[in-house]
Amino acid sequence: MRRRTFLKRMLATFAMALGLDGSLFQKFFSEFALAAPDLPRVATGTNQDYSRLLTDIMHALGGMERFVKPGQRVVVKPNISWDRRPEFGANTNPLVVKRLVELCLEAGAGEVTVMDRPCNDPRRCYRDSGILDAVRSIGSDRAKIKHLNPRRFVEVKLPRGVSLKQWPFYRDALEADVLIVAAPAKQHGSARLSLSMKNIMGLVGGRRERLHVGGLHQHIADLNTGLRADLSIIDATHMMVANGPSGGSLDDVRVLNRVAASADPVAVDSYAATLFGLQGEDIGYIRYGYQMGFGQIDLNKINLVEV
Amino acid sequence: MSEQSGNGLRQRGLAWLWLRRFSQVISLCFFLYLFLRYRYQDQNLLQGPLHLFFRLDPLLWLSEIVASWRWTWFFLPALAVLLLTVLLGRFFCAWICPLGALFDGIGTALNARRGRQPGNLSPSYRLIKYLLLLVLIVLAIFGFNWIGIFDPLALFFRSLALAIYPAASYSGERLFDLLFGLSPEKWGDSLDAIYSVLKGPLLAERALSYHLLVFTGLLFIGVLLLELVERRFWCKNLCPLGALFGLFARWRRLRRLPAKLCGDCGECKFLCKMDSFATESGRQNLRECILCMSCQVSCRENRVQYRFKASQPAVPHPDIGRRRIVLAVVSAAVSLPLLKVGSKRAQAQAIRPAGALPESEFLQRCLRCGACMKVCVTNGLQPLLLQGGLDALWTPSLVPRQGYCEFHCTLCGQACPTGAIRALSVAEKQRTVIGKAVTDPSRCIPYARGQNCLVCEEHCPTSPKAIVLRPQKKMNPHGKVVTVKLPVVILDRCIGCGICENKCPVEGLQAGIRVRPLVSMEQRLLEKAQGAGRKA
Ligand code: SF4
Repeated sequence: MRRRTFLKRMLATFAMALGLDGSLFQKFFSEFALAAPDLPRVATGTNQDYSRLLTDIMHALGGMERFVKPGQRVVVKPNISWDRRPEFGANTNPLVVKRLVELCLEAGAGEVTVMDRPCNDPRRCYRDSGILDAVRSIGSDRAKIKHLNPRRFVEVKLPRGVSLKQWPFYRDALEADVLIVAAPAKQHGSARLSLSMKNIMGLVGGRRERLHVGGLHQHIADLNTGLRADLSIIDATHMMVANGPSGGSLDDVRVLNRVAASADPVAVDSYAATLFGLQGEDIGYIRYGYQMGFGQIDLNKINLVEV
Repeated sequence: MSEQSGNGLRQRGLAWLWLRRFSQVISLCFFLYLFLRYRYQDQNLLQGPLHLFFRLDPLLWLSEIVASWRWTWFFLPALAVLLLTVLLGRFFCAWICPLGALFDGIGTALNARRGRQPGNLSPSYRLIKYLLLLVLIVLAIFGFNWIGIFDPLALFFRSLALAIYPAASYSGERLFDLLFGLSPEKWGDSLDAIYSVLKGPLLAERALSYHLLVFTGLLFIGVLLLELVERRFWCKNLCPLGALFGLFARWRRLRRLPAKLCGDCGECKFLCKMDSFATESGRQNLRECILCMSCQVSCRENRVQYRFKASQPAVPHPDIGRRRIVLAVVSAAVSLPLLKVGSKRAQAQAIRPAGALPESEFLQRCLRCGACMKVCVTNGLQPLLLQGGLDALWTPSLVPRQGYCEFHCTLCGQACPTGAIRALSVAEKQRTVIGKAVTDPSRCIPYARGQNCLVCEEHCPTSPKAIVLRPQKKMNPHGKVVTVKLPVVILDRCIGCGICENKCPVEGLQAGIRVRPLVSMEQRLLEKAQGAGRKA
């Protein structure tokens, strides 16, 4: 199955390389990957009990079983970028990550690996974000949390990329059967908002700082052609509204206790933008993502349920 | 004396010899183990008896006293060692000193390979270490403390931290590269498992590099190679700690019997690694004997033993001579201004770690052991060579291009054995200003090229951020006028951690934003005013 997913992605890439236009790409993902038209595209809700909240949201999306099949290898990519404690909202909330991993395990995942490439010292980020302990506290040997090994990046060609033609990606994320991105909703100086599509940057190698120069938004969209999350989670439990993406003061944080999820990264990001009083169209990479056919930006066309 | 009881002496000597070797090996291993514990141990707290060896070292105690004129219990173990030295002599050197253990091991191996043992140099060389000790103390009293540079434990630690460990860790990484490269598909996962276990405890978290790596490493190898000239060359002729022990050993109670070389044999003279028997009188010099037990083990006649003696006339030692002492003191004092040349520059060059004492006090108390540089999670703390004058040699300074100061980290203060860098609380540390960031409009991308970038703003850890974005119209390289966001440093928020300079995508040594040390008086006054303002 692992190989099949891989082949599927390869095939998609080749199809694009052959010059087929974006609409087909869009069709490919939105119809093929998001099969089940009767189900909502984005599910969201609020609850102080994050564990309940995630269960309900995933239930509304058709259950984790829709995304994770028994025996599959899952990579969960939260944001563990900063050496900050959970209440500052700089990283994905550890309880959200924990429940997510548990749901995958309950759906029968063979192995769930949590990983990110931090900006601060990795060991400190894993520890202080609370995510290391959260994953370990599950106490399953199928639930793992790993640091990235610099030798496991591979160059990936990005034929559909507009300004990036290739970039190193993390092998384990490429090879995973299921990739789940769990992104905290944050204000961001240069990207305006850091949401799920931006979080793909945590699975790429090279000098990421260079991505900031010469069109960060296009670069983010381009990277999303190399790696697409099967499930995108927006963690707005502690939404960072200022001094992002690293924050550092509780004044920067609004406690919303909200989470949103979707198989469509554009849709969920577009929805998350509204939490900040913005529109998906306002954020470059969401707009490019839509134009490049990764998903739906127009909230009127998105079937959104509140659980 | 029956054959039996005579053999008994040798036998007992043999037991002591092995006990000594065991103690040496354990001590060396423990030293290395503790060395490796100077790292982020999964929490912002260093645990374990990390400073044990430093605390055992009376020379470092002396350095601390001279530097701060303060009594501290921290060096209580060193006091115990000194008292034991009065009783036993230089036992430390053969039983505990990890560097001595290394000398014995490496010296034996090297000379065995070469197939011959080195001879002994003239005993007058040994005076060097006493003079060195004297000069170091005099200089330290006058504010130029180089004791740590020659102290064997500080020297060993520093060489491990700045040269041996980075090199070893690098080799380990390359080995894994090789293995991973062989067959990433087949072995990748199991190698990954092994690798992730070794990573951290043994292999450095990140590729380490230090400015004085080669210099420090070569010096250390040089010191080790002195074993080819003479066994325990360093300990006999150079080690100021050995000299200090020697001074105290003159009263030692544990004495060798017979006290002289035997007229009918005299083998001990050639056997003794420390060359502790006087050529003419044949008497053993109590200040040089390190209780290695070799003579007791090797005596064919079974005569040698070590016994506690209530008292005995002190054994003559080649006299340093009052004139030499006066000369040493005077020349040390006279050379002082010369040695201090350029030390003012240190302040202008060095970004000292958060918690470092005021510069002159810092220089006095810093041992140059390298513990702070070892523990630094980003490898940003680097030794100074001569940028700060001789005074500042090997002292730590932040080089942000290499590594920044991690906002929540206070490990260097905890790692410092003397308190030259104070152990700060996290909150205190985050308020401590170590430098100020300044943008360089000629290199910074938004200023120089009219393109957005803002990596520095993204990473700035203070809240509110010390780097803010100011939209402004700029001409880009294609001649179009665009609005770009320019990063601007709000000086009174900036603490100088250097993450901006570290992450800046501008290629090369010079980033688009740089942290400058706090140099001028104005800057300091500015700080004060701001501090007052913040409190108000
Ligand atoms: S003389 Fe110095 S280096 Fe040699 S063993 Fe003694 S203390 Fe260690």
